[in-house]
Amino acid sequence: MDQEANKPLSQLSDEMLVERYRAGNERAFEVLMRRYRQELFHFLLRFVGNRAAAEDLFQETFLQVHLSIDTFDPSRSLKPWLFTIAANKARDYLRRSSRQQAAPLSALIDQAQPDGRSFIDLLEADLPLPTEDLEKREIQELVQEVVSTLPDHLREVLLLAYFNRFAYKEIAAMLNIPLGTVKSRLHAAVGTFAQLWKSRYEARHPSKSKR
Amino acid sequence: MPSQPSHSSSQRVGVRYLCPADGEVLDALLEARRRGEDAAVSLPPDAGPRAQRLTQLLNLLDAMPTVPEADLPPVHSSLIAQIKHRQQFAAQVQMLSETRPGIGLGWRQVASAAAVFLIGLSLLFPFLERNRAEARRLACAANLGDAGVALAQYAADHQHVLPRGTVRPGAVWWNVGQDPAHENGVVSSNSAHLYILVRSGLIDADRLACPENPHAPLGKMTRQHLDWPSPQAVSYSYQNQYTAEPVRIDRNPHLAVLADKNPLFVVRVNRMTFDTSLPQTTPSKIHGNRGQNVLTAGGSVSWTIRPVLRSPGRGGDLDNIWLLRGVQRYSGTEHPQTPDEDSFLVP
Repeated sequence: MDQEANKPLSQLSDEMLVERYRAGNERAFEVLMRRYRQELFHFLLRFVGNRAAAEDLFQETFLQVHLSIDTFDPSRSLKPWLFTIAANKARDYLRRSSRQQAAPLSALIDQAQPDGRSFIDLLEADLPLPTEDLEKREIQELVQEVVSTLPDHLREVLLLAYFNRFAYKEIAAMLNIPLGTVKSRLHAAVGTFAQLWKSRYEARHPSKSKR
Repeated sequence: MPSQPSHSSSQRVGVRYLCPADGEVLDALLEARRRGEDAAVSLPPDAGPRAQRLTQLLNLLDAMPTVPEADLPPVHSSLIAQIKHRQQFAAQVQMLSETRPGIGLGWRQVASAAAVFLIGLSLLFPFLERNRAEARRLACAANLGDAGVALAQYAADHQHVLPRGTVRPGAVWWNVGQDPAHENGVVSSNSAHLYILVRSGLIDADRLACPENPHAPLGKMTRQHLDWPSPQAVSYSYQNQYTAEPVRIDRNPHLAVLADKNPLFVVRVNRMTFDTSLPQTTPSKIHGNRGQNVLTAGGSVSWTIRPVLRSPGRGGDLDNIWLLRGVQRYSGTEHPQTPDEDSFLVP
């Protein structure tokens, strides 16, 4: 225990930093913010697709962490709690902004699609992959466009699972949804991503996509 | 509360599920990625080609841009200080609200009240500023609404076409403030076409000035002017009028015709140029890069975070309202080939 007490803050676990902050050490909070700055900010940026909003949400998330710090159970991991708060804030923001946004920013993939589930088999889908002569910036733009076109609830699960590497079980707990729903949302997110990628890529590069 | 599906920006995207075989491989791949293990260990024996295809697809996600360390939001103690100020303010308010009436105030209480007032003011300032920005954004949207009415009135009197002076298709259009007399009456400024609305008496020039534009010449523009005096004075970008045929207002109600100023065309060394350093989906600078108000030919005004609108005329394709489809470089003479489908809003 003494060894823990003498460690620099940057070497303490998240949960220990929470303890220190509760005890009045403000530097501990700053260390926590620094530790998650990159990962959390990128999650917010990819989720809401707007830098200014992501910065506001980043601040709001840590403000909420401060306000709710006494309710955090230090026997659990901090990261899922932190991302739960961030995801809630981002979802609220998207809900609010959807009332102001031009309604159809996204393209319709399949207008005649029935209500039932529609499946994609990647082995048969003939997905176009970027050729080497395609500019990196163009690929970036296209991927970003496709990800931002995904419905919010699918994009959220995809980001948490792929970039933030949360286990399905953790995502289920964070979003308060059944494990099966996490799986089905992820399968839908990747399937829809594939379909959107194919249609957008082929629209931009009709010749390359047939190679 | 459980995370409910919401469709704020993507209401009409048709959702496709991975087929069960792909889904199973995806689960294994993501679990292996999470553990930092080789996926081959946990994959079903016959999953090779599917795993390869899925890996290629997932690798595309890594192309999403990242923000360099130096550009991440700053982390310092100001946030904590702000939180503490708020709590202090709340405590002071609580204390004063408990003061019983009828008891005279001493200098300590007066000083305390003054401090609370000042702290409150300092805390309120960002919120007030945010509210003011929101009010200006709404006023700007109202301007575009009025411009929409004026455009519709003009079109009704002119065979459904948008305001357009004498042009030579393919000529330079970014000479804002030029005198057409020098060009034998031919206009080489796209904003001058929009200004026809003012000259026709259909709208006051101040209604075509966004409240967020500090260079807008409020109260100075009259019906006798031909154009705004400079690119900086222009608040809104208008559908490019340098097409072979005039742009009609009744062909495509979803076509963006007017919006907060296009940020990709900027003035450098007294001449306008296309800024290649900015991403093509950069929002207008007018509202602090937060987004832009956009007016469509159908008369609707909306606030968009990204400068793209769905274009039903092209199978739901996204249309970047700042640029022409397929054109990467601009010298000031480019114009839409299909002006009823391709928005190209320029100063």
